Amino acid sequence: MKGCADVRDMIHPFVDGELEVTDNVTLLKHLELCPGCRARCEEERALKELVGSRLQERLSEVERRRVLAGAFGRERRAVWRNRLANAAAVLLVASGAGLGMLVAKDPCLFKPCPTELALKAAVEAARTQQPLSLAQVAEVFPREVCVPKACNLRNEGVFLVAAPGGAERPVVQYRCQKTGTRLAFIHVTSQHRLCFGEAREHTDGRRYVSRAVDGMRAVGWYGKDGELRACLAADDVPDDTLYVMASAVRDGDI
Amino acid sequence: MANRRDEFEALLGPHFDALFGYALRLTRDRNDAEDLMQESVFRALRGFGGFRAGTNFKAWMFRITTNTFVSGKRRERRAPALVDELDVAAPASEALEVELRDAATDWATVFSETVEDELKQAVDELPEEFRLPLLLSSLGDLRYKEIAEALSVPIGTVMSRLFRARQRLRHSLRGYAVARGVAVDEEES
Repeated sequence: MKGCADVRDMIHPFVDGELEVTDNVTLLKHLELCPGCRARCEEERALKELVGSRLQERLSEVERRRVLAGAFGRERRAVWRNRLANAAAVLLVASGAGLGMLVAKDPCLFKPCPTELALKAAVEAARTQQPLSLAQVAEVFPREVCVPKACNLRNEGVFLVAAPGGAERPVVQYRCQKTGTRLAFIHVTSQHRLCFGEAREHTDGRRYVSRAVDGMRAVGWYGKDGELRACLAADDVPDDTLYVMASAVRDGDI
Repeated sequence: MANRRDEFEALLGPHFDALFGYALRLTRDRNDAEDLMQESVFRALRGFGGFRAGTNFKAWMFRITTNTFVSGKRRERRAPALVDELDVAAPASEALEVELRDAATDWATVFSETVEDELKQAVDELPEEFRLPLLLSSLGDLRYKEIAEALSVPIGTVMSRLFRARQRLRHSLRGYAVARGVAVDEEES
């Protein structure tokens, strides 16, 4: 049989029910024959029970309800907070998606439209500059200028208008030989064709877009290359005149 | 939602007094204990979805209460106790002396004559590193492994601290009993 010193460390785990089976058997055998260790086990058990039973604290029903009501109330509020946060997140995602769709529909929703800027620059040039002859333009402009031949429209020269990136864009000026009405023709790389909306069919059976630009009117069409060409005229030019002139330029723009 | 709260309350009910006793001995103040209980019940309720039916609800609640208390203490940024110092065993000669003195004490009388306030005071005077395992074992009936998990210490540390806690507690109780004349001081006799 093992001595008292051998089983001393087993007493606490024994009282706590943590002793392994073999050690349990060893200790029980020892306890049968050792009143001293048996007493120690009883003392430890009594102390454990003393702490376990005498330190419990009975709460009054009011205190108990207060603790539970406080905790349950906080939990309810936390659940609602979570629900609100989730709803807000869903709304945020939905509005983000909605905004994305709007921007896809109109890429210039939050920034100036480069096509419109080009048209405005052309309007400004037509008002303030003297046109250059084609020969003068050829000296300073590296590319060939597209000048559609239009019936009854006489080319009066070309303005060179500053374009984004430091380049220049030619704007061709025409004058109607019958009415004297002036018309500016501009060719824009229309990255933002959506900003001008859907083209509508005119009485000549062709589709045009139109828009007011800084006191002038633009009537435009998309060429086979998908780029926008527009004719600008003062906004007091009658609709029919503008479309006839634009149609003539369009005929020559092949 | 109401069913879940009812189920939670039904499980909590039988352990409420033990848990509040634990909270009270941790905080040593009735209002703080009530706050600790409320916070622990709130946390438990929030995590109740993750509680596996059939596992030890009482141990789970004691563990949450311990974590709540410890994290609250951490927020208070109190200086940590000198755990290493606490874990150092007494010299062998001293241990032998203690053992002889213990053997000569009538513990049955000491324990039966212990007044509740003395017991609370003796427990409150224990360093936190001893008080927590003692209470988790005696009030919470937690296994060594569960205590180790709740306190994030190895099982061996739990065993040694539990041993030292009971030893200190016993001696404090004997001191009170001697002072009241219900037990004899073996040193003097």
